[in-house]
Amino acid sequence: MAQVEAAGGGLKAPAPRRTGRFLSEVAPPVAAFLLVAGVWEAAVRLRNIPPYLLPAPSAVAARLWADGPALIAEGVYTLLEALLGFGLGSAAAVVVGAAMARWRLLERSLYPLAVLVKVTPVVTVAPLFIIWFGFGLLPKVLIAALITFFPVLVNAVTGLKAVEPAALEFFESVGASKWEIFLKLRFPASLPYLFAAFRVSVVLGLIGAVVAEWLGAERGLGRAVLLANQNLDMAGLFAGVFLLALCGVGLTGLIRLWERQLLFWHETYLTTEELTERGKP
Amino acid sequence: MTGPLVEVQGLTKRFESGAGYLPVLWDLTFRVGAGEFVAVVGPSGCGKTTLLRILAGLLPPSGGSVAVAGYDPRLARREKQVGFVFQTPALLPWRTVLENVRLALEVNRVSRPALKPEDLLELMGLAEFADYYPHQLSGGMAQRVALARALVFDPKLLLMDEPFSALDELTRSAMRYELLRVWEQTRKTVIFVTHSIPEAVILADRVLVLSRRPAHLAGELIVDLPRPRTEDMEDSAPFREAVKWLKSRLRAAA
Repeated sequence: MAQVEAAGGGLKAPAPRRTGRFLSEVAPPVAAFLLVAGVWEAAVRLRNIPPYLLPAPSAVAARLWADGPALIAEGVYTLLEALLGFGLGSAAAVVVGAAMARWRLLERSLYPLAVLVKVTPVVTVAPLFIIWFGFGLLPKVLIAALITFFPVLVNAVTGLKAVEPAALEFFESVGASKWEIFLKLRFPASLPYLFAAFRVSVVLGLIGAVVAEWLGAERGLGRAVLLANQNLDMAGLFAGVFLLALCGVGLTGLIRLWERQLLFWHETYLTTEELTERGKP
Repeated sequence: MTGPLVEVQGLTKRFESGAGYLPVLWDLTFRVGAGEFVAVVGPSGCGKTTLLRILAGLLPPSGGSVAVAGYDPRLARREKQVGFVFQTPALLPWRTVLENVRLALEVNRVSRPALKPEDLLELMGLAEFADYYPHQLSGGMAQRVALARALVFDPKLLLMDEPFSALDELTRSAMRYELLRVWEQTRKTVIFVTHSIPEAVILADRVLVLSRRPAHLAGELIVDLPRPRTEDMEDSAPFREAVKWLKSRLRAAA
């Protein structure tokens, strides 16, 4: 999944406007993808690698074509788990982050803990959630939410405090309440930090949903991949992984689209001309 | 000019620091008349910004008394008698120029302001940029928006903390005359902190010189130049004498 995302190009690349540029940015990764698939295909055929060890890309494609609708239905279910979890975890993180940014004592006591949990592979508590909440949708959503929560929380606290001192002073000088300062200054100023966390968290949420499905589920792509693995159906496994990769690309793409809408004013989205124009009279 | 709008009497400010108290302002006494333009110069870090923040009611004094339009500064701020322009424009990048000027009205739920934000932009020569975002503005334009924003409640007192220090020299010079033009039309009482002595002289009716920390009044000069001020006055003898005198004062005070 990570490779697919990295192939999307640099973080700060603005949307290419002309077809020529578009081609020059899209053609290389597509060519690289085709090259890797070609080498893989050739290796499997020439060295006679058995399909229960490594299936040829053509076999995976054939499986995708045959089982497509069924796999996509499973994928939609997993996407739903991941998105619900991401939404729940992010919303909770923003609320708790706001409380921490507001009350120093809360921050001082809980923030170090949050940083500690952020670098812990939280997904390891997933079995506990299955015991607590059963095999349905709920434990998957909760695990995805838990994984999403800490990266967003840490960035929310940082972002909510990263306001220009003069802007804060202006709000104070016109008699703004803490709530108004939060709503009109701190929250919008934290959005670039929040979105940086969202980009990571949305994929973490997907991983959480898949791992939760492995531990016991009635539906979902994670479960489909696990079953294929148990049956030594490697073409089925890779078909599932391919669709999960598409889910990851789709989710990050959605976040990026949303970010572009909201953060048009942020440096990341300004062209070089607009940035250099700033210092001029 | 009627009675004083700002009265500062024996003002002292100390900051608590690790070991004890750090005195910043020491026994300052001065008055500013209504409609007067006063510049404040002093060595770096002498407490000029602290003085402005006390006048704005953002910091309490440690001793002495301060009155703005007859009020305690904090009350004067609540009564919207004070506008503040900072070193940086500090505009909100996600709001348009007009929305930035309106911000203070929104915060205070004022639907019919004394001065319409649109008219203020017109006054600043920014009418056609109302829908621009701050990243589309030059530094000088952004600072003009900040000035419009400070005037939105039609305050009696305008406090300016080195508002042009981040601009390049050409823009800075243009902004001085722009400010003077606006001041001629509004006749606000202005207290203008600056590092630049020529800037203080060309803008102000009177220049206060602060000493190094703890700052006390080290000199005062009434600028003998007619209004409205023009650029060629910067070559005149009274201008050069004023600059020379202030420079020597500042050197003695630093």
